[in-house]
Amino acid sequence: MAELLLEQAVVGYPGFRTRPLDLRAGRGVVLLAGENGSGKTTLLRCCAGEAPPLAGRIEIDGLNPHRSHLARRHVALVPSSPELPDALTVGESWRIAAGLRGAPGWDGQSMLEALGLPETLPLAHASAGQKIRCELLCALAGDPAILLLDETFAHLDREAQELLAVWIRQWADERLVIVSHHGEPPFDYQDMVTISPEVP
Amino acid sequence: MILSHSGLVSAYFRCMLRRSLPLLLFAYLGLLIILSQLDAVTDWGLLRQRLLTESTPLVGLLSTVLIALWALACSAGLRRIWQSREHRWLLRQPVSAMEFGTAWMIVATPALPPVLGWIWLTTPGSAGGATHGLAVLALSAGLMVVLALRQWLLGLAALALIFLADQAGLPGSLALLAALPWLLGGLGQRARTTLSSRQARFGFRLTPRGPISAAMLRDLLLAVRARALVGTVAMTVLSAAFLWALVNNGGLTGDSALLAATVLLAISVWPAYEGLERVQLRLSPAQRFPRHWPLSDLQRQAAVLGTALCLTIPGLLLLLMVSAGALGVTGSLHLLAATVCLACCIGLFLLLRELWYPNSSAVGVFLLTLITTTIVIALNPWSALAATLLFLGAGRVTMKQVTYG
Repeated sequence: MAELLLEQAVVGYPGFRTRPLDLRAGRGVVLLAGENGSGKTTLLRCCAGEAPPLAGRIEIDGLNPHRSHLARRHVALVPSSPELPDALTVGESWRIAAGLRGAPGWDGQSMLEALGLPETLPLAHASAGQKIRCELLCALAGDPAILLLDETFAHLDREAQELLAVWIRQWADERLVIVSHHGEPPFDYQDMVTISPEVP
Repeated sequence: MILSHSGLVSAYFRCMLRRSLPLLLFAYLGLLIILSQLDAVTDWGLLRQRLLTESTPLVGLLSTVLIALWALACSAGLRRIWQSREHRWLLRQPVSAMEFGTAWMIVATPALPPVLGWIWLTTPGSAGGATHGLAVLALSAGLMVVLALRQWLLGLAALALIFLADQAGLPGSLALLAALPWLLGGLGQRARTTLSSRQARFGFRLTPRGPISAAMLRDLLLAVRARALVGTVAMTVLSAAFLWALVNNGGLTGDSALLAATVLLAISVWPAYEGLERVQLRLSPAQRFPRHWPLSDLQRQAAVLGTALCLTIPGLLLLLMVSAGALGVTGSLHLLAATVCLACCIGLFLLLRELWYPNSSAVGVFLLTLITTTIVIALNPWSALAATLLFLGAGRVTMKQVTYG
């Protein structure tokens, strides 16, 4: 288990910044709510270590994820649009992701079957839903303690949405799951963070 | 200005036509080397007279074989146009099969000048000869397209038609030209079917042992599947053949041998670098190594250098082996040190290109450094080792400045 700390964290980019946010969590489901363009994706990417916060602190077990690759091993992001290279197959993608996370022995076979993904499916030929499922599989590689799901429900069919809601409940017993979602969430959550842009 | 559909389609094919030219570079380089060797021992005027007086079936057979070989070389290059995912857009457009076939044949036209040259050699200058030449040219363009689509049976049929066009004279050529619209329709339909089919990909189940090997494995897989390496390897072999010919013909002797060999090696190394650049830097650094990946800067640097070493060492070893004498490289240790040093030099410049992405302007600096490097290599193995360490240190500094994400 790893703890995520947001202390007066302000994220954004030139011309845009959010209001300060506070959060301390190590387990459970946190719903990240906010309108379109409110900074949900930017916050999740900052938590994953892609960029530093504009102000305040974002830490994982006391380490800055933007600077420390060891902190980034504890956190995985499922992006809202697929980012895996099209040239790879599903099987290669999760094996490479496990290797990158320092867990080459991680077995993704059962999750692969549960997600209904063919091992040899080239991502170039996968549908949008299949690509997001593959991103989810890669994010789970190495069992990260913090899982960030960015609008993941949006691309999935109803059956997959129900399955993911069940999984999120199970994962929340031993890890922190932060889910950004627009509208009524189809899953149970313990905490909610509402993000909004700073009004100049 | 709003472009009409047909305007867009023709603009698309003009773009494909421009893209086909660099893809034929290897085929043309090979042809130039063969022609330069033949030119020394051939009187082209005399050859033409002999070919015009030879028996028709023999010349027809020779024409067919030569056109087939040239079409095979060109289609290997042109095939990369067919791998573009942009064609899905084209398949949705209201373009008839005949227009489709015509457009793809026009894309293959940059490969036709050598065929035209051969027709000039073997065909008398008359109205019949011009008709015959036109029919053979059209069939050759079609042949290149079907071979690029890997339609081998259709390729054989096109070759048979080329042979028949040679044998049947003017009536046969006229009949072929009359049947051309029908042939184009068939070709276009076949091209549509091939472009819309989904190709299988070979499986790969190697499990990486750690973050560096995982990043390297991903880059190597992308490299192999981008199919940029085939052309690069071919260019490297061709460059080695060119260097070897120069060394053997005494072109690299005397006081200026070292400088000449260095410049030639630098030019020869370029294809290897170009291939790596295509593979590694097609994406921005942020896309290649997203910042949220759990890799340290050192691990990223090791992955970039590891990939560069894996992809370049065989080619560089080959190039150095053929130019070793002129460069003053002696002994296997010296050769190995020189190869690793050159590979590290290429790795460093891959990093520099990332630093300056997307405004990559490292070409001139790269060539200058490469020339300096080869002169250093020429001194002894220890100078090569020192240069390698220098490149690794410079790579470390550069890596710190590259922004990933």
